[in-house]
Amino acid sequence: MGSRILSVESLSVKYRANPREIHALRDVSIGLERGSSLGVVGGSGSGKTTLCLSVMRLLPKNAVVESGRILLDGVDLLSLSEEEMRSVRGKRVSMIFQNPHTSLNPTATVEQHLLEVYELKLGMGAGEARQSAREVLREAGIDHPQDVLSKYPHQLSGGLAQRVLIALAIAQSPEVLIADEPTSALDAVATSRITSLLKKLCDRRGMSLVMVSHDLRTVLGLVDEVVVMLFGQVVERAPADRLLKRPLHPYTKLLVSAYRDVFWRGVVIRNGLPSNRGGCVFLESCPHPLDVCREASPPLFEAGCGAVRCFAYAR
Amino acid sequence: MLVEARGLTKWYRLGGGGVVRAVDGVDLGIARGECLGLVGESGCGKTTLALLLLKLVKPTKGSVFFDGVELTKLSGRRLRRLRKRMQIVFQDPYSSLNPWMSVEQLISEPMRVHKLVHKEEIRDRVVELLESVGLSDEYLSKYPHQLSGGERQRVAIARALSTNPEFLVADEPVSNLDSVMRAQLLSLIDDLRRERGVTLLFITHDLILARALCSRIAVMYRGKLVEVCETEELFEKPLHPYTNELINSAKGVCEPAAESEVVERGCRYRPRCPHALRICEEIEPTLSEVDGRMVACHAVLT
Amino acid sequence: MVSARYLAKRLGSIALTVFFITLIAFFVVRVLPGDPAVALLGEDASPQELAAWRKKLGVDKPLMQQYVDWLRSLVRGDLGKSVFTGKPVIELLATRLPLTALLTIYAMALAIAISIPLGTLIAIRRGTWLAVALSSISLIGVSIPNFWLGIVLIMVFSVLLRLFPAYGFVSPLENPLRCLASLFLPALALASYAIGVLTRQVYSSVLEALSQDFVVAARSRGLPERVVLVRYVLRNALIPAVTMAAILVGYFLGGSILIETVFAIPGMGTMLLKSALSRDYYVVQGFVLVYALLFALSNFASDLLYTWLNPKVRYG
Repeated sequence: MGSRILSVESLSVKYRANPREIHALRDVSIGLERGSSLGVVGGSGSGKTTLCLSVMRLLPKNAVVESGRILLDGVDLLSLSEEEMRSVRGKRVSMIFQNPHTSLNPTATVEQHLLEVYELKLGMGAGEARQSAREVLREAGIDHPQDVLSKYPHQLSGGLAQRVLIALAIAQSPEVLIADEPTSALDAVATSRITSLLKKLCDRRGMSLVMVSHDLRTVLGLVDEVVVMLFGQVVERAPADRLLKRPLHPYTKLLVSAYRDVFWRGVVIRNGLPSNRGGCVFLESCPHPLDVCREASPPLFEAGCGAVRCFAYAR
Repeated sequence: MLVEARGLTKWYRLGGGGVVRAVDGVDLGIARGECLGLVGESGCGKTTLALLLLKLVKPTKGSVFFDGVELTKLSGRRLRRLRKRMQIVFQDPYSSLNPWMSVEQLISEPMRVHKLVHKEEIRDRVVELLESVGLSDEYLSKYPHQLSGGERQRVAIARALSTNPEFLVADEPVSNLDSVMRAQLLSLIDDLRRERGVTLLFITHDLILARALCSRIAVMYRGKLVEVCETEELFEKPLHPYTNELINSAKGVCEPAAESEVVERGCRYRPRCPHALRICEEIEPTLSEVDGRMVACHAVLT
Repeated sequence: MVSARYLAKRLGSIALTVFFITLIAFFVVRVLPGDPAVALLGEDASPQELAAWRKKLGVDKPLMQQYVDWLRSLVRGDLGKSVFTGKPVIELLATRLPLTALLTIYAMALAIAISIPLGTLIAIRRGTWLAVALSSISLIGVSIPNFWLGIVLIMVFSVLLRLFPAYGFVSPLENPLRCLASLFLPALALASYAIGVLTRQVYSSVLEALSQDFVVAARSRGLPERVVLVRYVLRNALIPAVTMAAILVGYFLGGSILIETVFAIPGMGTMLLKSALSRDYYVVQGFVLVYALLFALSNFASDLLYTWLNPKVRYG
């Protein structure tokens, strides 16, 4: 395996929201090897988007990074100035978003979006920029770029808009692509097309990928390793095939059974933070809680080529 | 047949003078007690078809029969009387519930409007409905913004069931939920349907979900039904190439094909079709019977 | 795209509005006590004299007859003549309208030039003292009556500081620069309400645009903040603001009547007021009609502008 291109170390982020604070990320660590891909899976409110925005340093104003480091090729992004960070964004780390339509400027055409990146960020002349815009759209799987270039975002289908967003994200040839639920606003056909496009692009360009989703289905087959998040914590980390064959954490088991069968009859999992303080976050929904789970929050235990945050696997 | 559509058509006129054929000549019957899946990609007209079946929008052409009565000809009180026998659950649980109403008001409103239950009994009935969707009575006084997506969708289902409908349309009810909530809500819908003997039209873009829930599936492409078939048969041997594409993409084996354009003439699926014939450029195939199955494809018919 | 059908529908509705305005303009002036003969000859003129003048002025005929006659001449493009000076109303309009138009455009230019930067600044610096102070000032603009503000401006800038002339309007043909200087205070007084309204509109739409996904997405590509602000935030946020500015033109027309009177500007407003007091029926009717037409057209322009600026509507 190559070196680590991106690693997040013990990152904690909270949001100041009246009247209380919300801990969106608690001691989160993830690592991404150069040229590999990592899946981040968790339900709504698990902190996945906060994690992505932290890496891009695009958190909303009321967010505070309490502790931790975000290393890109050994350099802590949190220590960079805003100006330095701007040259990282797009050029070294890019991001695509859940809703492709709202992520594009409604008053600009596809071509204006692309030209702006080539001219302002890569310093190209108008002619060269135009040529590159066509090429990158083709690379994003749009066979007839001239049909799309003059269109406004609302004139594009969801799948097409997401391809445009992908083209924008890879335009500056970044080393890392962060995809935050890129398919959950799309239908099944568009979803499978977009995931296979992402796979192809990463293989061809040697780009490293962080694929975020609430659904194991969109992540498996695409990524090498999976991190499962719940209430702002990483609860399990494992190679993709092991996670599917032998999930350890009870929440991961739930995800896997939701993946295997469409139906799942069991405890209702509530959104929002669990009521117990200090204990395990999954306590209320856990089928086999131990006594210790009530008193303390479990640390990550090494287990099965990965790690799991559950006392059942304590040594 | 509890619900039957004949030549149902809805065209929307565009500002610039163009026409969108959202639903284009659909014939479809739904038997009492059946669970039918309506599958197609976004923008194919699934939702418009559902709204037409419930007479929530007026058709450009064609008719809908509900329990033998021509719904498209009814209005006023007679239509309202039928309304309580059919309900719909929408995709977006954030915009389909009035934010100014509490859960109790939301669930009891249809009962009050249709005067189905005595005033004193309404609360008991609401609690009963809440329990049937897996929520306790502590939810009575909550407002939509205090609920998670899954909880809102449960409230929407309880509200839809409050009039004891015979026909329920669920329009992508789980698309906005995460995978675990999705699985839970689907099992709930399945249980409720069986317990109450409700006829269900389940609309989704995800063939996997339709397979789990429905006994029969209708596949829709750009305003037309292209295949209608028993679920297991459909998966064993899909006849229409679009059905095949949907099944493949559900399995995750799919080439990253380009998006396709709208055609003026001939088969709508032709630009994406691997088996397109000469005839497909000229004549649009109609839904016809082949070996006891309904499919609209020249390549299969010949 | 705006279809011919839409245009025809809108123009038809404007025509209908104008027709109703003719009814109101005609009958309201006639319901007022007194008539041109009384205004001309005084309260103590003899009934015979009054009757003779009424006959001469054509106000002795039945009301419906008068109204139909007026409508007939309107269709021919004739607005009638002033009862007192005998000048055609259209001629009076030609001398008065340009000045009122200039005042209105001037006020609009001021309103836009002040409220867009101000509203944007308040949105970007939200939560700071500066933003709170500026937004309170903009609230003052909304709540103060403009004629009163006009008087205050005269007292402060002209009488105390002697920065601008209080009265003494200078024609633009005579000296364009001094004309703009002489119109500055009236234009500012007229714009005060619009500045307040527009600033708040710009503020809230910039704030909304700032929280949109496409702004985060633009930043994620490392675009310079200036580009994000102008191309992503302002381009979207100004659509509702510009639309509202066009509607406010109509408001300016109403406000200009008072402002012209306070600052003694020889525009349409002063003329209308004078004619209304002397019951100069045809002048009042003609002027009210023109005001109404301009008002309807400014609303129409606002809708067209919105369509033109917003690609979502333009290419539906």
